[in-house]
Amino acid sequence: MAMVIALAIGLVGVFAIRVLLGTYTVAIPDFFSILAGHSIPGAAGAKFIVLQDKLPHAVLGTLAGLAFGCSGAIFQLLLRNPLASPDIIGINTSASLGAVVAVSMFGAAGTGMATGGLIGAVACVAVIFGLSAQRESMVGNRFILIGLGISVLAVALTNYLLSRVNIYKAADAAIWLTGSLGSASWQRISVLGLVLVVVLPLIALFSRNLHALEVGDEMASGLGVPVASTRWLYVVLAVLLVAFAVAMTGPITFVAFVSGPIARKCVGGKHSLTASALIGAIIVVLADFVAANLIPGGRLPVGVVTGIVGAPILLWLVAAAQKERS
Amino acid sequence: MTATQAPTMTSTSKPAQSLRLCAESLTLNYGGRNIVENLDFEVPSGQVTAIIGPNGCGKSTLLRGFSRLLKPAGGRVHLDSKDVSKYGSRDFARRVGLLPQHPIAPDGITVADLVSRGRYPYQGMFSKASREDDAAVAWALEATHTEQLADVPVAELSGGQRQRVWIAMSLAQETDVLLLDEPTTYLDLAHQVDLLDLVVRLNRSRGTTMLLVLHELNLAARCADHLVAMKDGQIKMSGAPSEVLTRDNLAEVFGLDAVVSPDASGSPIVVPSPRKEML
Repeated sequence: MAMVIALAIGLVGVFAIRVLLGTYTVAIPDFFSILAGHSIPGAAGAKFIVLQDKLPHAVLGTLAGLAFGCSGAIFQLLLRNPLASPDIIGINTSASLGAVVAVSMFGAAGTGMATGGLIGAVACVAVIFGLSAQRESMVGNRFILIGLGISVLAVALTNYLLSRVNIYKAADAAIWLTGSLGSASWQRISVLGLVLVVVLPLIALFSRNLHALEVGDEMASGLGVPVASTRWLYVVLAVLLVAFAVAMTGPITFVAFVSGPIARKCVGGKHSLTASALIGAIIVVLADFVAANLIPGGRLPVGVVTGIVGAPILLWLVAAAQKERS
Repeated sequence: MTATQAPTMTSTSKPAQSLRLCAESLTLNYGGRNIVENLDFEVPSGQVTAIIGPNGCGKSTLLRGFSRLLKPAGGRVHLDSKDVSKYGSRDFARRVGLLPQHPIAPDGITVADLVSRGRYPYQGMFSKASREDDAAVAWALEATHTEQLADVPVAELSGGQRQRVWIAMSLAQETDVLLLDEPTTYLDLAHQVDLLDLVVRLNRSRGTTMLLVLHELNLAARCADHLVAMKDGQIKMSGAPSEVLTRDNLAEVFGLDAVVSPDASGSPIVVPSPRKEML
């Protein structure tokens, strides 16, 4: 529990760093007076920069990070495999495909593109389940391998479509595809915030059942856990989280994947979902701070930073898992 | 290694009720094939019963039927003359416990934490562990001699310790019937004996009805009050170990040519006949 509180404080810390520091620094008193609706004398642009840039980035980053971290941990727990995170089993790439289909075939932009991403993510899960549900259990490598296959297909189709649309649309889509908080707006924040307000309490409510599944389906049902309904409930909740987060920010890679294992290292089995959500949020906000300030005068999409940091962690986890087995 | 007498325990558990668990013309279907067909059997209440039989005879499947993991394709399973499917899942889990063949030890949790998960059927969605929960966990750890391991991560246990901890988890469930699917797999002989003695001791001290699937015939004869021999999804014979483990029965059920002789306590010992080319 102490660790969870420490992580929460850490999140507040990186949130403050994102909002106050960087190439444009804001003093704490000024920040609060801007929040209260006042302009800062002598710095007319400050209000705009805080309210339309820094604050939306930090808030959307936090919400998306919470969603990625939590859904990743749920998938990993349900499938009992650290590789089972949404960014590995094709949910992210399918969301990208959905977004690009919306852009190239329906001329969508902004919200339309996000809706396409949402549909892509949900469709991906439906296909994986359709193909793997012929077997009774949804545990195991079968699910992950099908997801990997879908992921490769989605990437190929996305690239094909991108090469067919006009260059401006392709550039627009490419930014979303790397995962970016650049399009953060209060409208997007309120959509994702609403989803989290509904979904996170439900996740907490039945988490005893979810954790009871950790001992294996047979043991769990011997304990009286409603195994099948618990699985379905959590798959739906986790998909809602990741699908809406991807729709709002684009697929910020590796956050869902690394948060769960880091959380387990920090807090062990208990509270691992909460810890994973907090770690996801810390990673996204911190990565976005780096992305916004790394190149003077320029900006990287946050997904570039999480990818660069996350990929080595993936390799390290695979190597560590191999070592444990041998 | 083996504890031959019941240790004095400081914690106690509520005694098991004697419940009738029985299968009536039960057919169990797995992967489109009938594994158990039209089987009638009443689990002897308050006793230790071992199911033996060759690989693929339906032993584990029968256990899965009793534990509601498999829905009957025909016939029914009754607990106290009520169909088991009519029980609520927690209600059933307070009466009948199951230790499957391959339970999974979650990452990063301690023995005490794992054993306390056996209290799941007694806890509401928001309730914290009650005094009864704590007492049952303490008793389960003590009864299985794992109380010194309480704070050790499950991942660091040896095979024998781990199996005891799983039993402790099932004990914390305080059920009247406990179903154990090959609980001695992967254990060396001393730990197998140790574990089965624990099962018998718990049966004697608490009255828990024990139903085990076992491969090792001599150990089955040693621990069980009642043996059930299965072949091709049917019960071929059932009774006291000395009645079931006979030369003729072994030939019929296992296709095994073996000599059966009584050990010092009178329970039968099965010794396969010497290899032919050695004669």
